[in-house]
Amino acid sequence: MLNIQMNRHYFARRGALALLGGCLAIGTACNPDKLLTVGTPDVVLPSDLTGPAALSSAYAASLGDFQVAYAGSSGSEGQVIFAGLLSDEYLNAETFPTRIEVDRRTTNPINSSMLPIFQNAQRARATAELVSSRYAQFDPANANRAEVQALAAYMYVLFAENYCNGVPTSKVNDDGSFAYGDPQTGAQLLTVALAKFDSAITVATAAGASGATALNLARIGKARAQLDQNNFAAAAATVAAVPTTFAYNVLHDENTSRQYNANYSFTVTSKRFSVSDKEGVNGIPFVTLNDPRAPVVRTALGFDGATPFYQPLKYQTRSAPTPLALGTEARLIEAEAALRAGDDATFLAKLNEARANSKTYAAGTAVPPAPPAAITAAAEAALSATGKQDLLFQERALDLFLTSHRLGDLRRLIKYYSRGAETVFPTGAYLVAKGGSYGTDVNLPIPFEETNNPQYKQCIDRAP
Amino acid sequence: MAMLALPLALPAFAQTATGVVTGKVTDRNSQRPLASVQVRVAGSPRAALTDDAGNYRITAVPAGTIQVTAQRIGYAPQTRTVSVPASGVATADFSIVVSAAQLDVFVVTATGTTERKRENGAVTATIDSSAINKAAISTFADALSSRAPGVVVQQAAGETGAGSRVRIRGSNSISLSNEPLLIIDGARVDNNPSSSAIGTGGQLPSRLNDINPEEIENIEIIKGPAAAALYGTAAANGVIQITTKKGRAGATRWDVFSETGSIKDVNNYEPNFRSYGHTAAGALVTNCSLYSRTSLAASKCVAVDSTISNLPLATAGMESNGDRRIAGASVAGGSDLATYFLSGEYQKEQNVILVNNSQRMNIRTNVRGQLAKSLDAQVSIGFTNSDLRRPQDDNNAFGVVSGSQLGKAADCGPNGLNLQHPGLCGSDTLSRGYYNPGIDPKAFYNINTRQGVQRLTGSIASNWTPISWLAVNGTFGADVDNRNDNETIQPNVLAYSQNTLDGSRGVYRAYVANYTSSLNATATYDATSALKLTTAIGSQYTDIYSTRTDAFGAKLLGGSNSLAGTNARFSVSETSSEVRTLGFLGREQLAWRDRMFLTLGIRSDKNSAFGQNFSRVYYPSLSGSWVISDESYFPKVRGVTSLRLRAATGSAGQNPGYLAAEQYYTPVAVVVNGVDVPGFTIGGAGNTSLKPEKSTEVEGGFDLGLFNDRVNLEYTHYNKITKDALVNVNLAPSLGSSANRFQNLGQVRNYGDEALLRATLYESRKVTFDVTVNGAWTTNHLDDLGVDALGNRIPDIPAGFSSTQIIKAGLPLGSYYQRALTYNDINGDGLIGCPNGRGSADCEVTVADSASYQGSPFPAAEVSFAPSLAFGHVIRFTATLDHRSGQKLFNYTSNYRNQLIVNGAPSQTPSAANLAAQAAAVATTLPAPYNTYAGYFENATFTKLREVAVTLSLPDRFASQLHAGSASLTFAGRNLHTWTNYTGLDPESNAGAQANFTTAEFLTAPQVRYFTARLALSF
Repeated sequence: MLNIQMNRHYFARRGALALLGGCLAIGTACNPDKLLTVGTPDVVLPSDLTGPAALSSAYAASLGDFQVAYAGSSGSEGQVIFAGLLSDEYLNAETFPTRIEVDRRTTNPINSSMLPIFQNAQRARATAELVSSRYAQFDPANANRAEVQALAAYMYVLFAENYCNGVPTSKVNDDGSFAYGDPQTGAQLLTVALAKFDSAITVATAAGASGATALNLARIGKARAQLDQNNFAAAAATVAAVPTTFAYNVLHDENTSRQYNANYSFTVTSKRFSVSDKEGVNGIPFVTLNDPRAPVVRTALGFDGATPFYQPLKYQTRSAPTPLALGTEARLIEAEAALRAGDDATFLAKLNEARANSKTYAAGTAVPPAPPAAITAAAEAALSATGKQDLLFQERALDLFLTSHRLGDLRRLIKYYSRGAETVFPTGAYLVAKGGSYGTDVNLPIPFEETNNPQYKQCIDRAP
Repeated sequence: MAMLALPLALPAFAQTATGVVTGKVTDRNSQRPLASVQVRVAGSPRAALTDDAGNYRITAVPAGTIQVTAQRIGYAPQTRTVSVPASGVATADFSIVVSAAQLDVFVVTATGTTERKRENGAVTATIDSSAINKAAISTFADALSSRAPGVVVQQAAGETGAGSRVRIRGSNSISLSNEPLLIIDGARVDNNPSSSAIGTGGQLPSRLNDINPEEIENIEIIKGPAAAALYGTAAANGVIQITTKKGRAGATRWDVFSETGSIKDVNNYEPNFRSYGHTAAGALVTNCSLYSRTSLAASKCVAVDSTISNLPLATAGMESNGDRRIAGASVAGGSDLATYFLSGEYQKEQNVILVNNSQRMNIRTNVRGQLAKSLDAQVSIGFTNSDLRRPQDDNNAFGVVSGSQLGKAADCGPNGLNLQHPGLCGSDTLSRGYYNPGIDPKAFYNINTRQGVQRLTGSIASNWTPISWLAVNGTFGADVDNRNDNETIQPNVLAYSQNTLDGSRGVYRAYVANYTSSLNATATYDATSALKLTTAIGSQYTDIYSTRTDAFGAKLLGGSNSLAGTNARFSVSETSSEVRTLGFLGREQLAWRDRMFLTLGIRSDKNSAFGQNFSRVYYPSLSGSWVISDESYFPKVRGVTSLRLRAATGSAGQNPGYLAAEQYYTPVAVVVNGVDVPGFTIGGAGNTSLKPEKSTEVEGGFDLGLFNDRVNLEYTHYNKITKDALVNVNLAPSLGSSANRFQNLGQVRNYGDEALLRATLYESRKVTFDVTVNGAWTTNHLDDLGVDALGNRIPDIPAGFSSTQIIKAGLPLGSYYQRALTYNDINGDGLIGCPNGRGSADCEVTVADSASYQGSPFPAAEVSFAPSLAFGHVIRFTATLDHRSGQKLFNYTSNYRNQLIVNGAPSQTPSAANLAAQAAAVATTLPAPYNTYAGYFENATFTKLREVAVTLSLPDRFASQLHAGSASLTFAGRNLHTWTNYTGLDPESNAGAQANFTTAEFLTAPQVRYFTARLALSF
């Protein structure tokens, strides 16, 4: 019925066509289907995106979908924001009940703000896997294949860190039919992620110098997943070769609103989310510390006209990049492994190496300050075991501020460090003006719309 | 013109001898001549309208003995038998009486011919434009509202330019539009109810607003598939058919009018409150709200010491009385060979909100020409040029109404109020209590959002009667709409964000075209003296095309209102859509003794939006009508003048949208290695099996005339089922595909009753009193949401603000669906709290374990009462009273004021008098999933005095001083009073505007009151 044409239709031609249509319609010589032919000039069809010639745009598609899923866009919050909202990085300073639910740790699966970020995350995963398969088919040695494989794996990690147990991954087959996936626990998702990271590492290694970025990206991602499995020793080994100065950033641009950094749009532009300060008793005092790795600036009140607003200086423009994987993260992983192994010296050395190489920020065009001074051995030795853990996780919180790491860290504190949920997550009374108290969420629920997957009914559990 | 050339190209048939029929029509009671009476030759398209002197003239009438009928709405038709000499003139005068019956009113059919209502078993509502007091209405939607049973017009807001939601016999479609098809003079026209590229928080202009009620002769409403089957795909929601005014043979007549009016906001806004109190230790509490008073914290407020209030809307002077001015003129006239109607009107309206205003110019040219003895052609062209400035409001903190309702309890003036009212204004001295601190609310006027429309609607229609029993008609119509939405923010004025300080300009130009082409042939055959057969075949082709080009730039040069003045963040976009339909139709009518009619019809369509696996759809129809009172054996019952029994069934459909059947990707820009490159993202998942949704309706009823047709009652029961409903099903996000995909699933049912009573209660030479009462009772029900390809039930679809509505089998579409709420002031302190959480002994709200049906936003019943009292031809009073019941409205404004902003009375001055409102607020603070909005679904039953008008016919000497033939003065008012228990501003408000189901009052500017005065002169 629909024949694809890229022709433009002008007023006179269309008007005459319509005028003739009625006459021709009763004629015996015409083909009525030709009268019903319309064009599709604004979109591209699957048939236009096959073959090796489409690989470059497919690669871009994967990066674009990942950017929207991870760091958001002008109109979509992304994983970084919602993970920050549920943890203690962001405080809701606006009026959307659907976002307030997340900040209050009382998220309903029927939530119109949560749905698109989960959709975007699944879309990023699916696109990355599709593009990876296209590279495997047409250019298997290309380093881009390793990169998109790694990005796909990162989405699995984010699912495991940010969501409840029970995230399915499904597929649209080539014939348009659907292959629905079963709900997966966080452990299962991490297993899948590790396999993908290993594949990415293999391809990137074989690609030589051109694969260096993808190689380190995959190594850090793999180590992150291993850390989530509490396999800290293996994690440290995985990142041993990653340079401390390495950085893989998700890029943004002012070119189109889809490319905007959501952490800018939702803070600087619309003052929806403020950096929090010791949120809910347990949170890190990000504002008070005003650490150069996570500095803030007070800009009057938030969108709600009541909440004091602190803008993160990490994202001051629409095109500010969002870090995904950092060499300093590798050092912090090694520090954690050392701490768990009882090696205080290495623990301190790795912490300080990360500090020394951390990126700092300043307002506007001012020169960013130097990173914080090294932690002295004496200061470290004075800490109790719990205090050293707190130090580690605070260092991670500051260095990896607003990069969707904090929520996973809080869950690891509960699972692997025997902390109570109400001693790490914000708790107690919730912003008196808005009423109520914090709830008990330690992860994001899967949106209700996933029940369109016949294999899925609800989260397996909401355990950390 | 190829269409007109076609009839002329056929072989010339033997020329039929013709003559002329002329005469005069008068009111039998008053003996005064009657204008605008349609005089028609039976079985022929030959007709004419009487002029002011009551005279008419019909040319090209077949010679011989014919029947001529004179009819006008409000009068009983009269038929005369006339002998027409070849090339001669026959005279037929008529003297007709007032009647409420409409059996012999002519309506336009899908085949382009006209037929009397008695011939069709499906009911068609007719609104006589001359019966509507134009001074009492401001838009075309007002002309529709409350005038036909089953037609519900919901005006969402009081903004100038705001649209209306029109529903005929309920909502058929779950995901597609539920607006009826709109046809003007045979041409399909754009009826987009949400026609703009720029959001301002809720309200959107409707293309119905382009239609000038002054140009309308009459409106026919074909209510459902039983009657609309031959209109095919796109007619499932009913059809509104508009016929514009035409000229008439006779002396040229000029009509001019001028109208002026005032607009006032008389709504009762609740001010903003703030209570001050103290803790148990005596410390000041600057926000002694309900939450503070019911908390367990040591810092809780134990008692209120003082309460202040402020209504920023008033104290900041953000509204002022608006005004409305209209001037118009028309000229009509003609001869035997050609008639014309030309009109022009200019309208200017300033709303109570300073930055909400509009200007509109309408021009119309209708010309009919007798091209040959058996061939005529009619050209109807209307042009609209409008400019609308739209305000920010609804879900938009920058609005005049919204910013006030979310604002503070004090006017934070130049001296600040930090000492007198601590914790309220802070350092803010500019906001005047408006929501955005530190910003003068008038600074938001800097957001200049406008819509300019240039629209040309025209049709060319031709009728050819080569032989007496064959009539061929063709129509070509075009509705071309150039719409320019733009928004300009001047730099360095609005210090809300860097974006607003930078300034910007966005331009969104849309071109929307509807083309219609149809060709039909109708043949009549008198099989016997009693049995007449009418056979019609035809075809129709429509092309609905739109394209839009968007451009945006930021960092605007101050004073520039052009993209040329922007310097950064440029973006461009282009979108287009096109849907084409090709249909064939056939119709056969058997008429027995002009009292029993059986009509069979079939239409078949192909459409470009159908899936590849679906070819063609068929829409059959069948109707029967029996004017049983014309039968000789009908018993003579005192008072009963006429009785018609009727029944009909038929199907019509609605096509999927453009690209709904296709899998496609959308181009996007992506940064790769620091450079922008083209990429793509999933656009649509596609569905090759997509087919139209099909609505099938059965209706039956009767038309009863009493007391010489002084009283007429129409009753109809209908039952309509939509199958293969096109549902935009949510796809499981785990597929990584588009968010949803259209599938043919499910079944929707609408059934109900309609009644229309017209009665002339009193009539004498000096006084006439008649009333019209119409009522409709509608039930909407989603029978089934369907199953997917694997046989799994489709899950419910959450909808509406905060997902408070639902699409769920067993309930009306768009039902409010939340966990039910009950409350109990356990400790009797006049405060509702839940300090230890849900389920604790001191929690005074109880929320059900699962969600349930809480009501529907659509009225179950609507009854309108429209009396008319005339004293001779000197003075006439009219009014319209509208009652709607059975609906609820989500008062989302109250939720925001009492749960989030905490400036409403229940949250700041809680007492035993507002326990329910307190409970509603507290319930929304509970942790998910027990946070329920059920306490905010209010009964929105209302009765509104919509219109009152009085028209004075000025003395002839006054008119003659102006060299006019007649003069009248009309005073009218609109939105005069509302009786309701709804606690919000207006029980009709809807921040969802014309959305299918989303309905809530959310900071919406309520309807305003109009008073107008109009002077009309005829020459």
